[in-house]
Amino acid sequence: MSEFNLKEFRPSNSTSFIGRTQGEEVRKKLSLEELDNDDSEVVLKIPADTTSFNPSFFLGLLYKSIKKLGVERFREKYKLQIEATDPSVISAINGNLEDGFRNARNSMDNKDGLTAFG
Amino acid sequence: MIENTHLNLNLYVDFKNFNLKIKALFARWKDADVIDKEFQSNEIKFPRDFCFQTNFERSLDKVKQANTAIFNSIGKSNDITFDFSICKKVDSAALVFLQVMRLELMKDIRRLYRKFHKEEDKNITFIILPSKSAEVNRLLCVTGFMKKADVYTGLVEIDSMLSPINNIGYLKGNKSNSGKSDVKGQFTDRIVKYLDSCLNHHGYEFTGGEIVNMTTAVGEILGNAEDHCKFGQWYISANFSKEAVKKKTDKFVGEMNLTVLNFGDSIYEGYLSTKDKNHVQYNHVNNLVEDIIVKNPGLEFDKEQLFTVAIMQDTISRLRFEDDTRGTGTVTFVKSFLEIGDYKDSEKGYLPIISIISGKTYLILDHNCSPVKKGSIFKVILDKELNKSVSVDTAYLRRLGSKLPGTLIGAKIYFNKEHFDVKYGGES
Repeated sequence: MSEFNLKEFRPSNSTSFIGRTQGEEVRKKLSLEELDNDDSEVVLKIPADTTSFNPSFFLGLLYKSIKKLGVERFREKYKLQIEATDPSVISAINGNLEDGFRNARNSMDNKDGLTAFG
Repeated sequence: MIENTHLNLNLYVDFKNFNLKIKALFARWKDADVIDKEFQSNEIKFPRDFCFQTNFERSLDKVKQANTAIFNSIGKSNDITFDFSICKKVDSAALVFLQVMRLELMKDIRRLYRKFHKEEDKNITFIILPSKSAEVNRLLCVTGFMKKADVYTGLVEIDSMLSPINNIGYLKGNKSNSGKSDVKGQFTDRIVKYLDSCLNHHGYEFTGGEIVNMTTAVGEILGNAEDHCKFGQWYISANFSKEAVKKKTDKFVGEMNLTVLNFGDSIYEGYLSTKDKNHVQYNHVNNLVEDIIVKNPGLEFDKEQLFTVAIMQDTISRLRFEDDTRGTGTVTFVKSFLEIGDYKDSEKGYLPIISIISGKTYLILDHNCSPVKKGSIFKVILDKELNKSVSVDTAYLRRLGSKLPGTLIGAKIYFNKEHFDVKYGGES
């Protein structure tokens, strides 16, 4: 099992995880590309004082793994641990994660918002 | 007359190189189409309506004149007058745009003065002639053009119930900052704390979960601004005003304006720039847009406006070919801001809106066209009745006569404790 505390990869001047590029940078530092190739579990700890785990950061960090493994296998392999204790924060960060999954699924299924036109 | 800003500029030793650098700077600003090269005066008379929302083209012309006046004043120790005396109406978007341009240009000029050494002091003084309208002066104050003490000087009528409270200043981000030095997160946290401080005026504060939701919304829009800025810089500013009340009451209203700005390609130009690599999605969007144009002869929009609306939709992005999950930011921002700022009072003119100005497109989003979820997709629907076949409406989408050299997103939302009490079931 590999375990990472994401606080180490958050900018020192912020409590939020923001930006696709930043997510991609963390992905590289954690070598998730390689970890996706074995069966071991990966635990990603989202620190207690986190004020956002933006969908863009989520996708930069994890989309390639979700695409490669599929949502079900990804959920089995990757454990995203929210360390916050405030129920409203846990719920909102879970919302961030679900939004990330929603976007990932839409992209994999090639769905988009263009039907708004007609 | 209010002396707003004194800028100590210094004469230079190396006249030739200094002048060459100023010429190069002028050429860059001219290329960016933010200069009126015919303008000769140092006095800018702002029109009765200096609003991007209702008088975009003329307002943009005035910003260009202001930039030109600054160039004209270099080395001449001239005062520059911003005359708002006949102004009856302004909006935060136009004033923030004017202010960002002024600050950026003066910073560039100061840098050149420093680089080419100092001999003697010269001053450029900005003189702000206030309006006779309290509402105009209120917005001049919260956007940094006027001191609070001067807002009510020389007024003909008190046409605003709102009083200026404060602003967060002008925060500038840089694309080159990333990783540990990324300022996006830092500024996002600051903006959310500022929003929370605005709510505090109304006896409310964000819960931990709401902080996460707002941080997500602001962070997504700053991520977009950073992704799409051509020159590497983006800006964010926010200001707050509230109704002045003599007695303690839950009824008073606060207005918060948030503006995010980046220069460079418009949303449409950015999308076109990657159309070859992004050809699958581009063709899809293009077919839909052409279909709308064919089916709606006499439509007041051209391709740029229709493309811009399409690009606003969930999962649509010019960078889709690089990373097929792009295109989530705008919808998240619009959804969150229209949710937190859903108080409105038509009689008082308190109508929350989100404006997106990009190139020659002006898109207005309010509660009638806020994103709705259909299956797993959030759609921005531009139709009052939500059920027409063509979801574009001139009340929400406009073709502009002039081009904004970049993208400006402005959110104007209102807070009211009585409304919050009903919405959230009592005091928090």
